[in-house]
Amino acid sequence: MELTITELTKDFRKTRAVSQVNYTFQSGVYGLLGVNGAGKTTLMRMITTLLKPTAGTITWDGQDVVQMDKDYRRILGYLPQDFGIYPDFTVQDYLLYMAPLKGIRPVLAKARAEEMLRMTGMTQHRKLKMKALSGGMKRRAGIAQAVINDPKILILDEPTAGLDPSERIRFRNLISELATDRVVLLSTHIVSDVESMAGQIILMKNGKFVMTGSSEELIRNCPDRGWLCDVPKKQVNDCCLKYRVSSIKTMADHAKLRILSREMPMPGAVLEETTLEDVFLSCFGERSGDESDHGVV
Amino acid sequence: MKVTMVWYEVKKILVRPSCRVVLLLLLLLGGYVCYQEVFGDAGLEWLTESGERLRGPAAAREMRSAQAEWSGILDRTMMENALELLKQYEEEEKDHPEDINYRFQRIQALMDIRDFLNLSGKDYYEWQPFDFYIAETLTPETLPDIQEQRIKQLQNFLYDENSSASSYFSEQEKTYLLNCCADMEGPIQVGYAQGWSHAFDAGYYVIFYGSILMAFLVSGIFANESRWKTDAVYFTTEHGRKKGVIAKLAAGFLLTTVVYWALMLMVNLLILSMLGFDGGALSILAEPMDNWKSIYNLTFLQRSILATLDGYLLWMFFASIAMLVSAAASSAGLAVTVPSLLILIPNFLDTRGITRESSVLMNFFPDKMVRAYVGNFPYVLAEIGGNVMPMLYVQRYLYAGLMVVLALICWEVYRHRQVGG
Ligand SMILES: Nc1ncnc2c1ncn2[C@@H]1O[C@H](COP(=O)(O)OP(=O)(O)O)[C@@H](O)[C@H]1O
Ligand SMILES: [Mg+2]
Repeated sequence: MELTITELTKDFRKTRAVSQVNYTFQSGVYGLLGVNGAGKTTLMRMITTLLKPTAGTITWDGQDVVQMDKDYRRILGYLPQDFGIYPDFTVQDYLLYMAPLKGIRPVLAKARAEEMLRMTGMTQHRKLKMKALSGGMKRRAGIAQAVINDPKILILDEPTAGLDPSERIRFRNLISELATDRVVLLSTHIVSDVESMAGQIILMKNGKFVMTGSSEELIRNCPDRGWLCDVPKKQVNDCCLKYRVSSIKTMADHAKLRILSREMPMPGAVLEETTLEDVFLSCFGERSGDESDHGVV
Repeated sequence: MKVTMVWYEVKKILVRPSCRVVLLLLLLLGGYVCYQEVFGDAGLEWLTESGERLRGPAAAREMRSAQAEWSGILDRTMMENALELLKQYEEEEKDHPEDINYRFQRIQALMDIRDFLNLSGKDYYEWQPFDFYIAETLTPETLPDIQEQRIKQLQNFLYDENSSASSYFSEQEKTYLLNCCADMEGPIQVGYAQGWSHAFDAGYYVIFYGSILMAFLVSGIFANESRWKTDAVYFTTEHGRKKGVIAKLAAGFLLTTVVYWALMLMVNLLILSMLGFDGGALSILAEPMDNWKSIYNLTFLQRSILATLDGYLLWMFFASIAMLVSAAASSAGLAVTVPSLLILIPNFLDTRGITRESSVLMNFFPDKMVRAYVGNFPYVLAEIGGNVMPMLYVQRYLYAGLMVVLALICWEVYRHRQVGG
């Protein structure tokens, strides 16, 4: 079970969205972390054969996926970033429509659809029209269709974006349940998502994989450290210009800054444990990895 | 392709509120047309002796019983008897100046025979105007031979130097037209066939205007996938690029088929049951006002069947255009517009003076196919390999062929679609 991408490149008219990416995915959960515009969606669209690469190849166990055609799509599950619904279909209609498209035999379709409804907690909503679903419920229907064919490759593009905190936790658990014996590739720009779900983390920037590895490996290899500094209020602006500041806590007469730096930024700074968020910040150089949602591209 | 795939594609259309509205509109169109052809302005009317105007089934009953003695082979005896009565009523009318309907009420049952006399009582084929008072000027000695007159008129129309037709038609075409006319030789039959003729007219309107509504129903099959952004998932499914596309096409054609036949069956049965099934075996010539110049040697029943089949072909052709545009342009709006323009533009141009005669291209437009049997439609012929035939026959093959080709292009275009490019 091996999905290999080689020199994968995608050019749009002006931009190179994905640039000569090489990687091999095996069974497990991969978290693709990057700011908006990093190229995550484009990469996933190529892996799902929705977009033809400008250059490079994608193979599954050594076979070119374009050649494999429907044999490849049979083992594919995909939840797009911009998951669209059939407004007047009920959730049940939707799954029963997707089942034969995904090669599930008619005799099994009903049972399989019911299993998906149960798994995603949608059983009591199965008669609801999809346009009446909340954002979280839509996403669950999206997951249900993605895994109804028990795919070997599960691609989830920003599966937690726009969900409220409790929905997001539900979702993380659901994905962890699904993580066995398949390649799961999920993209996000939220650090805590990958931390809780992904065994392997890929930092993507400007169309390239800039860092890969487990959370510990990334932290270990990060050149920057997090320092806690007490700074007088009027120096806060200066510090923000000079250093990468990951958090600011304002007190009565001074502020506590968390500064990212290779060396001690100022006397009296206290070294703190490096987090994945620091790695993210160090890589992308801006505050993008917080819990707040930046919305969807 | 699996049956369930097709069924859910159909269901995807039928669950949409806008599509339900369109289905309702189709039903209303059918109902309205039936009403018009039975009770409305285009409907059947009968004036009773007491001066009451009957419409619909009541009128049909009166007309049928009044026409009973004027049914059968229109031989010399029947013509002489009819002429005698016509002249008698013309005389009597003068004694009843207070009753403006005196004569009309009495000749109602004789109308078709009177039309025969009017039409055959002259030597020239006129599209317009029609001389309405020839019949009463005839005498038993000058009674024309109807078939002979038809052929003579056509000959004059085709060969007279003053006739525009003499230069318009080629020699082969002229021979073909005369042969068609001669084909219908044999005893002319008259009788009551109002059910069939009104059902035919109703069918024409349903085919014509219904085709646009139908195009709306199938217009979203492909285009909505991108509008709803469901295409990303659709194209990553195992069958999304092959069987799924076939299922979509099948759903479009299936829906077109079911809606068409249900609607046409409804309209025809409603009208026939109200105005009567009688007369199906009569030649359409029995309705001379409409079919005097027809080149189609058909009975009313045959004409209804053929016209309904042609209409079906037109709808299927339109469905294939709508689906192709839907797939290629990803726009449901455009998918309705293209076939609508195709059927409305020739109509529009006709009224602007760009006539069929002046443009070969116009004759290829699909509306001509459904109009071919409509009374007094000008002769539109095609010549292929030295054989002359009505353009209608060419169109049948043309549109059936195009339908298949368009469906194949649609399939080819859609299954290679990229998403997010
Ligand atoms: N269809 C497209 N046409 C042109 N540029 C595109 C298209 N899709 C994506 N891009 C560009 O490619 C880059 C990567 O986009 P995307 O893959 O959506 O990033 P991400 O999913 O990481 O936010 C962006 O600069 C984006 O503007
Ligand atoms: Mg994206």
